[in-house]
Amino acid sequence: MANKESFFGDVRKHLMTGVSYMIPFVVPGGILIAVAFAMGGIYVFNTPGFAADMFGWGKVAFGLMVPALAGFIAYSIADRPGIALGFVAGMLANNQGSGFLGGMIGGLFAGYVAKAIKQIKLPASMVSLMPVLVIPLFGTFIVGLGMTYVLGGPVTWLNQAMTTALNNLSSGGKIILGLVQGAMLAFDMGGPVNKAAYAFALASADANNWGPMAANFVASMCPPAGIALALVLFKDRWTKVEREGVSGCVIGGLAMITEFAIPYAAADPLHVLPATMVGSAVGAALSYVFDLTLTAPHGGLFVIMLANKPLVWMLVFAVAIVVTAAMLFVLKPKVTESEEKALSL
Amino acid sequence: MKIVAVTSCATGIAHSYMAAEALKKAVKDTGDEIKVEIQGAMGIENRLTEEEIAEADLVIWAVDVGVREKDRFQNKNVIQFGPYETIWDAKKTIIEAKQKAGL
Repeated sequence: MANKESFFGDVRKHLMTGVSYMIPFVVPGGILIAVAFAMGGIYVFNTPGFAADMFGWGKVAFGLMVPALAGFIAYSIADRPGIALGFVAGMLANNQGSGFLGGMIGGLFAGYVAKAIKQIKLPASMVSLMPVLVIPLFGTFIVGLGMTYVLGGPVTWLNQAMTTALNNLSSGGKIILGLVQGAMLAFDMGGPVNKAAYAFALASADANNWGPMAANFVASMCPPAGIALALVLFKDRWTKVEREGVSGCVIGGLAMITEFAIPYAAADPLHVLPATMVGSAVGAALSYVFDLTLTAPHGGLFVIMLANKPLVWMLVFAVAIVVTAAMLFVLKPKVTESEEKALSL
Repeated sequence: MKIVAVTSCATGIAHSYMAAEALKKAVKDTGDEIKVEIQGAMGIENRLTEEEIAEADLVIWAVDVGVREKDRFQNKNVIQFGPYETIWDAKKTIIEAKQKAGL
């Protein structure tokens, strides 16, 4: 089968799979909850009516975040038999208050439990019992024991300690956090480093702190938007083919799909990546400086009215775009004629 | 040489497709034949059949999330990469994969 990767490389891939399957639960959940609040006020869940119903839908979708995370981490480790065990582990993490962190650890635990039970050799007559009885029953039993008596306590403590630390961060600490978070989001534009930083924003949102998400929006939207501005302003820095992609970059910037910036970074990573990383880092740090929050987990400019201060957010975003474009102007050399001919996307 | 490949990424909307494109472009230079299965957010696209996998000389995974229906590749020597390095330089991916597979 597949050539051996390092253990940590594998774990990273399992976690990434979990995040990948989790996102479609989080996005509608967060947005429906936020829109319901906007329609029905802060006590919407106590006021029967359409807004309260919608709040309920969003809450269910959002509540499935940690179970889906754990379920698909376990799926990545043990294939199909992992899913049920992972979902149980994630639900237990939810109930214990160990949240996102508990879901990650619980999902890994459940996955390896399922994988270990799969290795047991049963007599041929009983093989068919494996997927319907043996793995789900004994696996869930072991996952329950592990989550309740071993992992639950320490992980819940750690999760709460991290949440408290984040909420009480000094202003200097917040700026450093923003710089790191922003640079990570722009570093590989939708790749694993970006997703790790996004997972941090989601984990904070799960703990009801939406500050990191506001910073996440700025830093994720900035690379394509900043490049779009540079494409328009500094024409001599780009090939003709590159300049034709400007509408894609504008859409990517507005819709928060950082990936649109990749072709530009791929063509000239040493000049483009530092520029986008600086722009995103500055934007994310400013977002913390102004204490911005944003209660939607994705959606770009289309959900920006859910920010606590939409106009300030737009201003921060504009600054980040300008910084990115200015950095590109400084760093990126002019395109020569031979490059114009040789480089095509 | 007959190559089959699987691409995937965390979000499943961009890198998976870009890696697939990069591989298809790269075989024009290396002179190989390739079919790429994309495991994106919308499901499995351009699915590899059992015969195609069986006939392939080289199997490349350019993946960042767990491959779906892994069992299909059980008897194959799979060479793994990330989608990013493949987008950056797919030709290198193919050359390295051949070396690692001893071809």
